[in-house]
Amino acid sequence: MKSGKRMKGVVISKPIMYGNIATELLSRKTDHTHRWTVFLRGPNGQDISYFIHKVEFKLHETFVNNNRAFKSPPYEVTETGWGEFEIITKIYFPPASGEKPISLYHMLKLYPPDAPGQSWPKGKPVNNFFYDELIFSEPTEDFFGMLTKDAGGPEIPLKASGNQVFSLESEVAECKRLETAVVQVTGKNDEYKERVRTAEAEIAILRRDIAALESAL
Amino acid sequence: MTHKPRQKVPGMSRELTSLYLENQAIPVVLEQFQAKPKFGTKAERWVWRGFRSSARGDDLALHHWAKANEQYTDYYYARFNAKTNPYQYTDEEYEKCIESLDKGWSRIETDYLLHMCRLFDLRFIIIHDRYYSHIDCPSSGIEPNRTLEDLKGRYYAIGRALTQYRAGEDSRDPEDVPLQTTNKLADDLALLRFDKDKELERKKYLEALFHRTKEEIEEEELLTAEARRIEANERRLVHEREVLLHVSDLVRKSASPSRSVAPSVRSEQGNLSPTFGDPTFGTEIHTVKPAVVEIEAADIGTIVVPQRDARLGPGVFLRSDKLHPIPKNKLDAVKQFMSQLALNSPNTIWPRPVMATPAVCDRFDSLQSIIIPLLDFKKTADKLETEVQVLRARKRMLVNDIGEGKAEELLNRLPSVDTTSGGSSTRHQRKSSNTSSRRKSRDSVS
Repeated sequence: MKSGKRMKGVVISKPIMYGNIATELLSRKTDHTHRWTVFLRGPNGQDISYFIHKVEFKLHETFVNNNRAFKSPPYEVTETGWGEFEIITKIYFPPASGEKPISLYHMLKLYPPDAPGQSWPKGKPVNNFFYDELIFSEPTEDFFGMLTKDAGGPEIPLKASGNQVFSLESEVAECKRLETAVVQVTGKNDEYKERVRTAEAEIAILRRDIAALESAL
Repeated sequence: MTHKPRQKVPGMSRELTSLYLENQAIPVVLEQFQAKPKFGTKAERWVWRGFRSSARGDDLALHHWAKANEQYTDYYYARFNAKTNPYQYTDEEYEKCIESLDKGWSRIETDYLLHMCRLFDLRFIIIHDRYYSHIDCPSSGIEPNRTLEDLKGRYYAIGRALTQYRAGEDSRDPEDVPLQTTNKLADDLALLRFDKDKELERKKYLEALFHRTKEEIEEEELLTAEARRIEANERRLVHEREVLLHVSDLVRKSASPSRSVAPSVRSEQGNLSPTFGDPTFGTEIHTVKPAVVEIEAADIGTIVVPQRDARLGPGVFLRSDKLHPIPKNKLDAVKQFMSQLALNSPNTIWPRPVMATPAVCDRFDSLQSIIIPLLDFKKTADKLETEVQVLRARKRMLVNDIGEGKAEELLNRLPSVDTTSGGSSTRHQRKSSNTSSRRKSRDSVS
């Protein structure tokens, strides 16, 4: 008999992926320049609805019904437009969890990044993906049961492929890059420290000399 | 006596004049004649009247002042003459139920006891005190040394027996008797409970309690506090044990392949280098592990949890929100730095990694934490180095004014500078050899 009591010390994290894909509209019937899709899904395309009750995408107020809610996957909104604005993705959890909804904020990105010397091929979609993890800390017993249900496959793919850009491989790569950076920065730190030291020493000496020379004027 | 305020003195303002004591007008309340209050009604007539009280056993007529028109049936305070009604049995009843109760009590003594009860309103302390000295005390047939508990016990025993007997006299079939009556009987009997031994014990304890010494009281307090603490802990422990057993079942049943429940096998701290899993089918599976902690989680037993996730408190959080915060004024600088290293996720307001897993976040945090002092050092270094330039220029000017030769002479005579006391944040000991080498280089410049 599961109860609604919280399980102390238990932490479960679920990876999610969200963001948007935008493609330029080639035929301009209106002043809309792009068709875009904003979404929320699992990084390996797996089901995430078993711990999500509802997803609300809040678009710019110039859109009709700018609060788009979905109670079942796919959690996606496809629209056309010309402007980039902030999208608020609010995730509601099942009432059994007793958890408050959590909001994700990101900018809708339509235009390709500035890459001097390179032109963006026409028709190539602009991808703006974010990876994050929902940390469920001290879930209720009921919710714990829901969360530990079989997700149907690994939650994060081993390798990146297609639109699944976040993988275990990419994690390792990022970690390596961060570690190298840490080493680099530590080195730079020492370098700067040394420079500060020498500068301070020289300042002391120069000050003394100047004082002496001034008194001799 | 009122004082008239003085006339105006030319040259002095009105307010100033009023400040002088003799000039002040002092308000005084005059006596006023107060007439006798008039009532609408005429005065009442009171008479000296005699009265009798039903509370008295005799016919004594006392007197008091009473209103002429008022009538009392009985003395007003007779209602407060409460009387108790101790049991009264007939001879038949005595023979039937009471005699068999206690052989130590004779008929005479029992009668005397009940007489005393009636006389003294069941105040056993008084009854006991006067038991042997009362005028009505029988000369024979009475046991000596009756204690208070003896008397009480006998009385309540009689009460019980009588109540039981009188109820039993009810000729109705036990099933016809309404529940109310049987319940009432039970209540009445309950009221007449008296256990002599218990009473004695109780009184003994009270005596002991009253005569406790100071040390004993303190000791008792300590013990009770200790006992309460143990009890509270015990409750918690028992509950935790139960919950653990209960959910170790849950976990076993819901064997989940999800990465989150068992993120890593080894619980080492700060494992920075990628570890290799079993090479299967010739491919090496690289994984990185975050800093983890083993936690005694309620209901599951020991689980391994990323260290950064422990002690979060209940609720749902986003991992990228749980990076170490950076002071606002440094935010931009850190973001720029990160972007230069191509480590910052693009299109975000504050610095965050591209893929916010626990392992990545650990490393991101450590990177952030050393970038901040780096930026500080950079700023300080730049500041100091510009100062060096400025000072060098000034010195050159002075040397030109004085003349090179003279300047050199002057400077050579100066003692070596103690560079340990100067400086902002760094505290380092400088060796004297460095100072002299510096001087030599300076000489070559000048």
